[in-house]
Amino acid sequence: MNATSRNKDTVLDTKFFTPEIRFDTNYMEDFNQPIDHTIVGATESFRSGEVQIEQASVGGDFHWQNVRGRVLFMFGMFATTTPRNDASYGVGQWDLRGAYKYTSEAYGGYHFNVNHGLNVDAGIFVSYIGLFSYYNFDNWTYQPSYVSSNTPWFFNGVRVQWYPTNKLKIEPWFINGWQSYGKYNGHPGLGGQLLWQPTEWFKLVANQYGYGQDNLGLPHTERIHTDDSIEVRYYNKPQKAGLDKMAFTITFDAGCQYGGGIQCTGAASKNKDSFVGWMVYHRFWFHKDLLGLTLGGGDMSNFGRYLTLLPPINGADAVTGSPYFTENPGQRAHMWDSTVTLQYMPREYITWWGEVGYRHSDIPYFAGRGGVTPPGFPIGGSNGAPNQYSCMSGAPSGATDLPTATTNCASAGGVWFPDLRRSEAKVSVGVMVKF
Amino acid sequence: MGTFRLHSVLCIGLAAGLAAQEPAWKSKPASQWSDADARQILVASPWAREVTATITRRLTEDQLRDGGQMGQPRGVGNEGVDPKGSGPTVSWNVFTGPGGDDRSYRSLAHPITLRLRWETALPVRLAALQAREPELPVVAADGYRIAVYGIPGGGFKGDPTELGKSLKGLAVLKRDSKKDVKPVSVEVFQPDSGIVVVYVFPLSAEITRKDKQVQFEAQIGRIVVSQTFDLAEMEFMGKLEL
Repeated sequence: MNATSRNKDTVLDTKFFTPEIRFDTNYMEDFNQPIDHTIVGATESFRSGEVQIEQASVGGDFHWQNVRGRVLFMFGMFATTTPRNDASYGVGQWDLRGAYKYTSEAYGGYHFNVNHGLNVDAGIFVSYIGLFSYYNFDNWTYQPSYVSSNTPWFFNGVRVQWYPTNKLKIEPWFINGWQSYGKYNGHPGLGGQLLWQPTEWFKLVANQYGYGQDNLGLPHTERIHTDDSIEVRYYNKPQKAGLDKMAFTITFDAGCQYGGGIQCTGAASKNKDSFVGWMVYHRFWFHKDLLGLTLGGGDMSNFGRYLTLLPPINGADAVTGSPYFTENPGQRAHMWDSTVTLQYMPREYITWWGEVGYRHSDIPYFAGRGGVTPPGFPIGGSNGAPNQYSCMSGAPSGATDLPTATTNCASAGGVWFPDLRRSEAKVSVGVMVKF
Repeated sequence: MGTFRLHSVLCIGLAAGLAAQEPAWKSKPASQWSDADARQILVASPWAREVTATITRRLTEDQLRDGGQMGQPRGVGNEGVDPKGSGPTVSWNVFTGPGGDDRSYRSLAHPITLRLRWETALPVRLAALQAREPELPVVAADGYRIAVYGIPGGGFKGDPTELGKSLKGLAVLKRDSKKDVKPVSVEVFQPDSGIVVVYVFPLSAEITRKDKQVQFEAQIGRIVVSQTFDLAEMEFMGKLEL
């Protein structure tokens, strides 16, 4: 199934510890040919024309009787590209990004022998909002659609996993917020997952989230979100030499923000913040699962852009924001994408893959040839003031509004603008290993 | 006259032959059982069957975690059931391979031969006496006792009742049109000859000839065993013995 590792056995394990090792390396070619090699708008694709280690992880599960713990460290691109989407570290002191940047999972807990199991875990754990796994090895495609890419990969808090039957999991969460290391405002995030797998070939995942006030500087705005998926394997002839398996997934997401002058419905001009999205994938397996071919894509419409990934223009991140891509209430971002992914899986622990993808946005969003890095900063990639307009000289304008920036940059060649396009075509190849 | 004599001899010979083919529990009183007869009753009789059970595949850590567990399950039927060297092998050749068939022996279900025996059946008890087989120190209350022999592993810590506690909810006796019967106790013994799991089902189940068949199903760790017993065959001295 999608988002599930296909490994059939564990190479090493002991009574107390089961190790896990992951390597994920890719080469991506963005046909926009950004001069600064920067790919924009995804949590899986970051650099063009380069071989990059997306993830190198080591860790594993600790288990002794009913006490349990899991840690998976995270190195590579993920260690910087995931934390930059979390603005909660902008609240208060201590360096939360620094504290967690190399950790994708770390929690400890206890397993109670209730029904088919009841776990209580506290720490940082992965989220399956958006169906796909944070770890690309487990997924049918490398670049999932927006509904997955733009929704949380992790939660920091406490979860309870209750298995009343061996086919049903009910998992409430008490978390700091929507993919946030810390808590943005007064409310924590509450939510949960219901996972129902009545048969081997059908899976229903329903994630619900609410109560959290997940915007930096908006203490009275709450977020709600629903994310619901089904997976169906409708053809299974494992011993067949040709086409041996077929399955599909359908995911639907909807959510909004309200309070503090923001509302879920109504006209965009009345500070509407809402999200609707879907994605569909179909997978074919050939030659006893030696090859996997996945076709799919999706669409999202996000008023207020609160789930639209901020392009890293001049080093911008979720805290700094960018005057070049504002995320104000009522501002819409509508995007769609599609991918074709071929995976070659000669051994259970390795996947060679190739993918072609096309993404489209109704607003300028993807990096074009000119890139998203101000001139004069080939090293470092930022003039240190991503929240300001930059001048053509590369210097900060000292202004976050365009008229002032235009005046300030008059003697520095004018105001610089990133090259943002409405579309992006990309070819990628890579290899992933998981033990 | 000669023909009549020949026929008589043939008839007597045939009768003797048939009698010789009749199993000991049908043809002889218990006092005349030989050691071989006793062994047959204890190993291959209506009360004792060699059955092919299944060792289910070993789950991966990811599968265990998805199911709310961490680490391979421990205990009887989980530890020691995989042969040594049945784990995965890592090949340096990562460019070609068998795809989905690249899996270890222990990640696939495989068969195992076990022996099931109705310990409380009179012929079994008599045969055990004859064969001087040591009696299992079962402490549970009276009931229909079914023992499962031949489970791999050993050296488990805990008393028999403690070891059997987790198996209690995973066994059942089934009959047509009647409610399934669950064991009142399960005990695990570890004699030198191997692990024995003894299930005690309540006498209140009142298994009778009218039930015709009774099916025993149990899960012992990763081992799944199921066997149907024909009650018509389980009569001894004209009485159903279980």
